[in-house]
Amino acid sequence: MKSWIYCNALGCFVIDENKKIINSLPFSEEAAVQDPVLPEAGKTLDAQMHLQKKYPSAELIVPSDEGVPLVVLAAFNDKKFLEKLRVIALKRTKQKIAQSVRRDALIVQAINEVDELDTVMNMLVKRLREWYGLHNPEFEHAIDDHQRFVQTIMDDDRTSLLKKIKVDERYAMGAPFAKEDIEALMRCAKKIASLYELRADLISYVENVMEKECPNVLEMCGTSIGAKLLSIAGGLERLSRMPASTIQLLGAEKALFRHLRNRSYLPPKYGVIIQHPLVAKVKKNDKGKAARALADKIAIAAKVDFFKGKKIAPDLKKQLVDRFGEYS
Amino acid sequence: MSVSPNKFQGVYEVQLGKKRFFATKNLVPGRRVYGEDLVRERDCEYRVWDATRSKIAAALVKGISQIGIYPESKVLYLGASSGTTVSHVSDLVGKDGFVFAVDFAPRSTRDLVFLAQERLNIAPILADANHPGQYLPLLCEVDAVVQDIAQRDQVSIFLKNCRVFLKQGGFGILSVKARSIDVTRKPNLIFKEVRAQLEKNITIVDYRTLDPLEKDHCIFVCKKK
Repeated sequence: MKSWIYCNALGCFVIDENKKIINSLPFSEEAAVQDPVLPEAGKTLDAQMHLQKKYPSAELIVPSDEGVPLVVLAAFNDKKFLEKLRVIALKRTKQKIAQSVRRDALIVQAINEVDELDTVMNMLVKRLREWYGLHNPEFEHAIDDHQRFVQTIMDDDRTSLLKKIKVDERYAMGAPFAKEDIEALMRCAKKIASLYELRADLISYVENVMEKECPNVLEMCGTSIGAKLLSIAGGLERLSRMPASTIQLLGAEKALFRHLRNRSYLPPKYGVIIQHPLVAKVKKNDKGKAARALADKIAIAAKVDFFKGKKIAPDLKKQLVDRFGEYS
Repeated sequence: MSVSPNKFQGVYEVQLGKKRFFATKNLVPGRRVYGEDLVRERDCEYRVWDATRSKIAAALVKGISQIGIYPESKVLYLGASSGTTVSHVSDLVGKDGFVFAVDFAPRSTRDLVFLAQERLNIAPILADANHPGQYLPLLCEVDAVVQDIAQRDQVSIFLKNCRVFLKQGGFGILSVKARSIDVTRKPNLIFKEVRAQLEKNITIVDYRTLDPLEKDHCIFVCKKK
């Protein structure tokens, strides 16, 4: 009768044509959870050798993508094996999930948090402006920059602020606020101002991590664009495997697929790299060219970073400058 | 409110007001998996199977003639994601059945692990379905292979896994997302090609397009020769 020697996560087994296990050398549970349980092709475990000596006629089979005879797999249909397999699968999967976290995942989370913060802060500041506008509409109207607005209304009272923008207080539109009304407003302003600080902290944190993980990408794109590229690509590894043409269009998926489905829409020329100073600087007709050249260099930078190469960004940058002129 | 068995073993139908839903008997009574409705009747608890979130439920709604999963089946589920459909398959096969749930994404497998800790008939596996050799040592022969992965080569991945793990006469359930095979071409043409490719290797029992529950999706139920 034909028989096989087969090792899986549970141990080494000798199995015959009737799905019967003739002999077995089970692994200890700890051994089973460690990954190299599986003999990689060529590498034979002690247990396997032992069984081979005992059953010289049995054919040795190694797990591969081609599979193994189904009879062999069917030997493990029993509930007691399934329970053990489940325990091992759970442990191994947990281990693998823990190992799957790389430092670039932190960059991605942090930059996404910055994006969320931007949305939230915008909402809060808009409400704060409405609220403050009841008290001092002239000043609210005069300052466009949100962060500066929040800062200055905390520092000074209405009278001095109106003086700053040279409006006569006697003819101002604002209603007087009692002390408690102002205080409630200021508490909100204070919290919002602290959110701006948090945002700045996060950005510098992202920059620090990128400096270590992907210095070349950082220098080529800057913190915000570099981190966004990592976020859309799903990590440094995936970014490093992308062709430049894909990197060029990261962030322009909607426009790209609209074009692919219906060619009467023009293809996009750039995704998030449109915010890059190089692309922003060049003339309209050259934006596509600049985006293409920049994406090429980013692709190179990402590959070098992923394989922990030298710092080559200055060279890459110089090539771009030679072609398109100085950019900041 | 009333619960009645469906023609498929392990599947139930629940009447809630004027609407009828499919449901499975909850393996872990009292626990929700993804915010679905729980229905109690005569000491049994049933979980309503949301047809807009699970493609097998959508196929049931569309009147598929065979689902290929029975109580006590051993199932290999590829593309388990966070376990929405897996939880219903786990209900369906019951405590004497088993589900090997494979997924490639660490994030969604995290949720799957929490599910598997509650349900003793699920083994979560973090691996690439394109390389069955990676998880072969954790599997036995299975009665059904379910695949729901949005990959360009999803059909060949499906066939590969059926060849390696599926017993003779076992069922394979493949859900095809036309848009991930090719966004530019008409879904119907793609389904046709998928059929041709499947028929070379396996017998197709039934298929259903899932419109309007899932856009541009089609589910194939096959039987291994």
